[in-house]
Amino acid sequence: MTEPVITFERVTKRYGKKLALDGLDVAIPAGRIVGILGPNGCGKSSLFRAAAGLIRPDEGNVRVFGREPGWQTNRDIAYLPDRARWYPNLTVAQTFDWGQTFLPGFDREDAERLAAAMEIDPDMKIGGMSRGQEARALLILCIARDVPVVMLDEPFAGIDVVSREAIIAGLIEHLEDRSQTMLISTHDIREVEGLFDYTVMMDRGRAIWTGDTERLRAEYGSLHDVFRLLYRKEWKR
Amino acid sequence: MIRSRTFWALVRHEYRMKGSWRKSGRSALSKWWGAVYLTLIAAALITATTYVAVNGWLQFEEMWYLALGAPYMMLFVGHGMIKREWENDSYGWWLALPYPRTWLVVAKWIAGWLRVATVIVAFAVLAILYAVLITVCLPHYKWADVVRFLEVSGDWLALLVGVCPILLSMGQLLAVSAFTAARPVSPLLWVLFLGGMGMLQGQLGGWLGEDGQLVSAVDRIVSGWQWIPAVAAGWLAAGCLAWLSAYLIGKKLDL
Repeated sequence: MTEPVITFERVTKRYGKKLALDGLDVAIPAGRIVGILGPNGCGKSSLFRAAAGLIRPDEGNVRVFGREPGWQTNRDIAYLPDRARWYPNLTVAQTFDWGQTFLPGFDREDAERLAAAMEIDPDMKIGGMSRGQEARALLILCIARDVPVVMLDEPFAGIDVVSREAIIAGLIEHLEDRSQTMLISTHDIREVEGLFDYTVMMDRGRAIWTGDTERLRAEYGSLHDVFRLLYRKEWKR
Repeated sequence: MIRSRTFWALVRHEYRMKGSWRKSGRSALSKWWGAVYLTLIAAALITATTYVAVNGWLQFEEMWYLALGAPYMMLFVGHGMIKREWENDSYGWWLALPYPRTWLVVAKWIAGWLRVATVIVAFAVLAILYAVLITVCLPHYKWADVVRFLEVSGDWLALLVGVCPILLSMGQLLAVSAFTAARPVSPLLWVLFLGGMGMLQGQLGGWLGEDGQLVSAVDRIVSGWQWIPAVAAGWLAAGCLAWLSAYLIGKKLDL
């Protein structure tokens, strides 16, 4: 395995009595498209937030490129937060101006090309967009960055099928000519399972299965089947 | 050099930023009514002031009494600039920016200061123009009254500029405390800060001189020897509070 870009060692994070991460041990390999999968509340967003330096673990270690995560490591990470929205008074073009000014590695031309491909009007205000259009604009803000790691936390949540397909198409096109490590979390894998070549299955704050997606498929069938098998108990409750 | 350019770009972004999803959810009708009410209040204020002026009862400097509400405006500007990130669900973007948390907090602080200064200077300019207009139109007002008003305006501007930084920082800390491990002390901070401001304003009566005029009290405050050290101490305290806010969002976020 190549050197991991992000590692979690026995990481625990509590919110009051709720245990969001419970001794999480996982290493994210470089250059892979990693699916962080699991049901709602299994700790996916806490994993992303810890890697982006937004939250600090109560116990254990998180390392990004071998360093403690924080604003310094965020120069090399493009992060789409969970349920993130954008400033409603800005247009898409102004949003790209913001990206160009504040996000290292932001490629304006690439962003405009992606916007055209995803049918996003640069002159449109975010406040006048549908949730699907807004989600596409925010995805572009992330994937138009030439940085080693891209982290997309639930990029398909609450989005209509058309936007979801546009986002997946945009991701596939983007991934063709990049060698970035990409982490994508989702609790609904049907349309996206073909994207992942490495999978981390999470449940109750732990990684319950980690490895090459092909191995997982060979062992259990499609990711959708794996999902149903591993979380059967979760669904029965 | 590039990094400092980025910092000032952050300040510019914060200064220009307006609107929120909560406000954009309001109907056009409610926005229209909001504008109508604001216009009516402004018209009522101008009419009442003009009536008082026509009868010769208006002392121009009394227009600055409106600024007694400014400290609360400063506190809520500081508070609102941080809280807006949560209202807009944009806090994840803001907090993941690859710049020190002190930059993020101080950029909002400077932008807030510029916003408050814009409002106060705009008020001062309009009040001075109004005073000039009244002096031209009404014979019982003299140019000496306008000159006196300009001097008083300088005092008030100095006072407001002096107290603005600490009030902005207090507002920021109030907002930050609500989203961090400091949440349990957040209500206490509200009581402390708002109660303290109320008590200070309540003390204004004790600062009035023999003439009983607030205007001369402000003049005494800003021309006294204690003013500069007091402002310096206030700005230092503001810096400490800004650092505390940055520390809390850097190390103690509760998302």
